[in-house]
Amino acid sequence: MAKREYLGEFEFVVILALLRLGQDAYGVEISREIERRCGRGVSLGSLYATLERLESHGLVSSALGEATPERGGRAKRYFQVTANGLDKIRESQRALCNMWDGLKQLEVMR
Amino acid sequence: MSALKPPVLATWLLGLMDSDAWQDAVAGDLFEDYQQRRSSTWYWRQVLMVVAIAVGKDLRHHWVLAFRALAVAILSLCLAHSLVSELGVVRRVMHMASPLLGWWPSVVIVAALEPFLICGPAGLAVALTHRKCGATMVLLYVAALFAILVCLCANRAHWTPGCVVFWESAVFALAGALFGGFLGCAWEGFSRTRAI
Repeated sequence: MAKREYLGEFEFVVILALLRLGQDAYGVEISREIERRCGRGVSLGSLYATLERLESHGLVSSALGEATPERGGRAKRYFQVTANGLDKIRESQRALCNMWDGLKQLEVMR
Repeated sequence: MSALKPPVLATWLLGLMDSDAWQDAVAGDLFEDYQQRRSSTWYWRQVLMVVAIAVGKDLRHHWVLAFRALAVAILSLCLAHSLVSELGVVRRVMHMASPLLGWWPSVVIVAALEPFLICGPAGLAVALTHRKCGATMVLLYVAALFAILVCLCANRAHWTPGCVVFWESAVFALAGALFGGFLGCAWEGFSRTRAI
């Protein structure tokens, strides 16, 4: 059987945050979105390590914005989910839903 | 409203890491987020996390450089040790300080000075011979030195005056390694900026 790589939990969350933010997805906004929706703090170091890994796998692409004074003269890096990334997240969603289906213990939680 | 400056030392530490476009974006994000959170502890925690992740990544991708850095460190330590012994630094300092301060304070001064003079140049050599990932290699050298010192300290379970001197030497060895290493990194950064 061919080896299939599934997304890790944090990778899953990051890609969903990118999809929610659309054009405005850069480090600070992504971490705030995750904090707001998941209720957990995210360190920018681990967020960027994940984004870098996702980009190296071709699931996410990034582009530099313009440098602004409110960022100490440094540019923003904007992220977008690629078509490959969308396929991957659908695949992961399907796999999770298949595992979820029919579990009576979790019905209340849904 | 003018921007609030984040802790200078933490920003400097972040700047020592290899500055690629990613690192620049992280530094910008930290700066922007700091303007809202205004917590130095938060900023330090984030910077240390970024540095730890960057060090891990560098070591994974450049493990040959890591071995080379350790080899340079060992060679430099041997060289600095021979030089310090050859120049008779310990003897000279004892000779000068003993009549003024007495024997015991002179021993304390020598115990701080000698490891600093040996481990500092080794840190400097590691930083200057590794333009790529210099800060990571310095941190690797300091971590290796720390591990060796912890092993040596663990063998000294009994509390004696000699122990205090030994621990003092260990602390100054680490301080010298960090000082020499970061001095080298800062010098590398300065010459890179001048070249641009």
